[in-house]
Amino acid sequence: MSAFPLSSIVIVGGGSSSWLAAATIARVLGASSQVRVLEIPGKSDTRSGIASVPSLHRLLRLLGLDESALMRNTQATFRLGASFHDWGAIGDRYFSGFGSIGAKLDAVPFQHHWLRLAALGESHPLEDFSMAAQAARLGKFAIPQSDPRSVLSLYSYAWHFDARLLAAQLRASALRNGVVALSGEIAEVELDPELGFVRALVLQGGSRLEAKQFIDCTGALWPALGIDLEDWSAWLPCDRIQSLRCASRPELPPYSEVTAHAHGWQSVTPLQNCIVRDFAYGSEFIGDEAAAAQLLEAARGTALDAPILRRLNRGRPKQFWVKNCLLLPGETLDPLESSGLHLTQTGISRYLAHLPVSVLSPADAAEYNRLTAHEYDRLRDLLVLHYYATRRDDSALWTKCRETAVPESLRQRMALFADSGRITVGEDEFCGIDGWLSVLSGQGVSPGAYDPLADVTSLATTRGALTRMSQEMQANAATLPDHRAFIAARGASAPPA
Amino acid sequence: MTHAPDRIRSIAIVGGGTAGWMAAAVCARKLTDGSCAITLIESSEIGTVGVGEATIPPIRLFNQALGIDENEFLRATQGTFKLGIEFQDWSRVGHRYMHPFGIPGLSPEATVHQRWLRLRERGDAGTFEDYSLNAVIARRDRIANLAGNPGGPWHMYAYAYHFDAGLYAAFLRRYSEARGVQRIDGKVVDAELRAGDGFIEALRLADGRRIEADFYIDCSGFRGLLIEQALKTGYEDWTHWLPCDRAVAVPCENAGARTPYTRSTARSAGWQWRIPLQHRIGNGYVFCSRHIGDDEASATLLANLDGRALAEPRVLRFTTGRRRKLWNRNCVALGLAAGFLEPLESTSIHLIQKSLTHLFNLFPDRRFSPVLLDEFNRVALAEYDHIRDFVVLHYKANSRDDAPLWRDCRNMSIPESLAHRLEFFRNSGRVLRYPADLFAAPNWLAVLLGQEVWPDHGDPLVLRHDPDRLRADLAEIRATIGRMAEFSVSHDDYLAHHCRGSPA
Repeated sequence: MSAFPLSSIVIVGGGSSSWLAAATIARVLGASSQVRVLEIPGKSDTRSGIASVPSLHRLLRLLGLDESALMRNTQATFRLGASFHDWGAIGDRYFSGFGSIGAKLDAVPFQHHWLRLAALGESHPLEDFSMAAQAARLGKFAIPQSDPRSVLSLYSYAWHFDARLLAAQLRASALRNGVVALSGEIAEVELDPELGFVRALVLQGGSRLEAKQFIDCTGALWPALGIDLEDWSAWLPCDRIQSLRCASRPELPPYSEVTAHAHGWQSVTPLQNCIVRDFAYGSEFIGDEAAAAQLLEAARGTALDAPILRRLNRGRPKQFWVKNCLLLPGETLDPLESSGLHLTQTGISRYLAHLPVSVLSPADAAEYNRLTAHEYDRLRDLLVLHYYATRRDDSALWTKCRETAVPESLRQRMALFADSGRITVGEDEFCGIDGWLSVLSGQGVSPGAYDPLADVTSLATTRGALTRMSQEMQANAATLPDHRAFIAARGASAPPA
Repeated sequence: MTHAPDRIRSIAIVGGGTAGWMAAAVCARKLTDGSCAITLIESSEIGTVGVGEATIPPIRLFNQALGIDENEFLRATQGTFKLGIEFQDWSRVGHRYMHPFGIPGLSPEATVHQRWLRLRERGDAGTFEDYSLNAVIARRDRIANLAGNPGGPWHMYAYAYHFDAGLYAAFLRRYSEARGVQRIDGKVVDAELRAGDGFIEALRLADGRRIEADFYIDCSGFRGLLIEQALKTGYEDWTHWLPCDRAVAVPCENAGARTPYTRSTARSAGWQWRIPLQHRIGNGYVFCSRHIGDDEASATLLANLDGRALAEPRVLRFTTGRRRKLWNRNCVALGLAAGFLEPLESTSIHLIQKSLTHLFNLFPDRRFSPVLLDEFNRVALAEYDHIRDFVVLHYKANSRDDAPLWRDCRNMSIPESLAHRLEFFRNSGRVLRYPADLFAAPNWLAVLLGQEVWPDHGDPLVLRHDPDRLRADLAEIRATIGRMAEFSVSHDDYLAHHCRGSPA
């Protein structure tokens, strides 16, 4: 088996991303590959809470993890989306939920019918047509139904996790699949003198970790590989994030709250036994100490420990797969859209679809890099939209963001929407049409026209269909159990020791 | 006010071949509220190019969207079923392979070809066709009998049709006229352009009539009466990749069972198509005029027919390529007015269908926003470019040594996008996937493996398995496909019982 190009893999990390990668690879490659994870002290997850997106369902199935057990072991809560406050302007509020918004009518996408009525002076909140938003508004949750005729099939969900507990669960899954855990600091990255690929990691204390392939979730290998960052600092203001655990509140919403702030944004992520407050900010707008003070002030005496600081990249590596090293930098990007775990997951599944055919596999690496760059760049556009489409001018950060021309790909997408209410989204994008619609309309981008084909449907039909839909969603939302009660019925986590 | 103010009030379609009547039918189906007048202008003096036409599975979605009954459609168009295309003598003389529709193996995710490649070298895996339900059924001149709800992964199966394009146009004409499309018998001679922005203001007919519309659809054929002659859009010439520039076509009598597949046979200066219809077989020889003359090509064609020729051979000239834009100002071009790709993979009607889909996804109002035009051109042109690459692959990946055309094609430079695809496949046996691609991995694999392009390495996920286990897996897949193929009926019998056209 020595010719097998994946007979040994070393993953550098320690947090959820690296254990997710290890568990997945060990599961798929089985005994043909020896997978080791090098945990670097201090490089493990320092965020306290992790919000996920529905793609994680696939991973749990692949790993054979039981949802209820995982939730119990990670103090997890359900997540229907995120509530955005003060983004388009102070006082604005919108909900970006998982699942569809409205439904096609006469083969014309929903938003055009909605825009048509708005043009006639009959405006309805977009959230009236989102099952996820309707349930979230009432603090209710149940598992979606599978019968497509029920409006209760029109949403999906994800989870909020305690980050350390999630990492521990993924670690246990990886170890069950034969992954070996090691700990140490890297002293030297040993490169092949001719071909430049990584041969081994030399640890402090002298031990040597040799492998055919390496996966880096930390950035530790970047200097040796000469990785440059594609710089997005003109568009994305936040390069720091601080996390703080706080005492629970009486309410347990099935969503996170993300509030735009003079120097970035703050969020509240609900867990079973506490809430996690995050503050993402730009270091040129506010110092770390002042940011910590503001985060503690927002907590109003409920803090359970001290804020923990982590750095964010305002950009992405120019390449994601170099020689025999795969980089999984999803967790280093601004987590405004909770994309971190998702990026790790898609990064790994893309790697499995392009596994190297020998130690170096440049054709596969090039294709992997093309697809991954595309994925990151489209996600960047979604993040930039939050900062750009605003009328806020109450701080230097917002004035700068509002005035910076957006990337060309985002400009085109916004132009198409502004021109005719249309949204086109590629298959492999993080965010679908309904997600873009939520953010575009939530941030106050309003189109000047809509698809003329919407006019072919009679007004009475359109009015009737929209009214029925929102009423049916509202009525069904009311029948769902309370989120906290639903978790309790499925077996809540044990109270903290 | 129930309508946006700038709505399109009238559409004029120029030309009444397959493209024109497909456009008319979709307009009539989509714009049902009577607020947009749809006119089609065709001259009964001008013939249409359509002969026997072969299609690919998305045609079924087109007919379904129009609410057309399958049997009624097949009766009206002398249509037959199509499960794939057989390629003869393409890789080398004497070699043949099937490009079947559908998906090889028993599940869309499984990479059966990687397992097959691994065992092929050991010589005990059969041919790749053995793993395609479509190919196994087609080779028996049968089609699936899905009415009996047989168990098994039938989503791996797919089909399209062969039909008489002239009869299809007539069928869609009846459909369109019944839904309010106005047909004008006349010959368009000129277009009046608006001063300032150069938009088409009106059409002038030979008899002096003047026809105005907000929006024009050019289905006038190769010459591109509006898109090129009036609007000077420009043409991107692909002759350096697709050297054939003529075709000679002739129908002949049926002899023997109607095959539920198209056949394409490579010849010394091009290739010959064979499209079985109910009442006859459509035949043609697509050739390169640098390598063979019209007379010799006609003689070759006539010497290679199943039955007696039913007409004089007719020669067509073309330049492979496409317009630089398919939507220019207030005009969209469809069919031959938009571009020409030889029908090697039966994509002519599909390209019309896709352009119509994109057009109605981005349907304009009278402001004709450049944002919409740009988006339409981006997606619609990409469809042409993608199919071009797929067609060029057939020429490039050959090992024929009997004629200069084939040696030239083997050595020619190819589009960058195709070169990248080939390189990627040769490395690992994997197929590049772009989200919007019409032809997905199964199609590329059928042609790459069919034309004997072998990868240097296999997928590591397969390499780690023991050959005995792979052998057992593959035998099981072949056995399952064999059992499923029993749920099939004779193609001829099915046509006779369910959709027999009127005698020719």
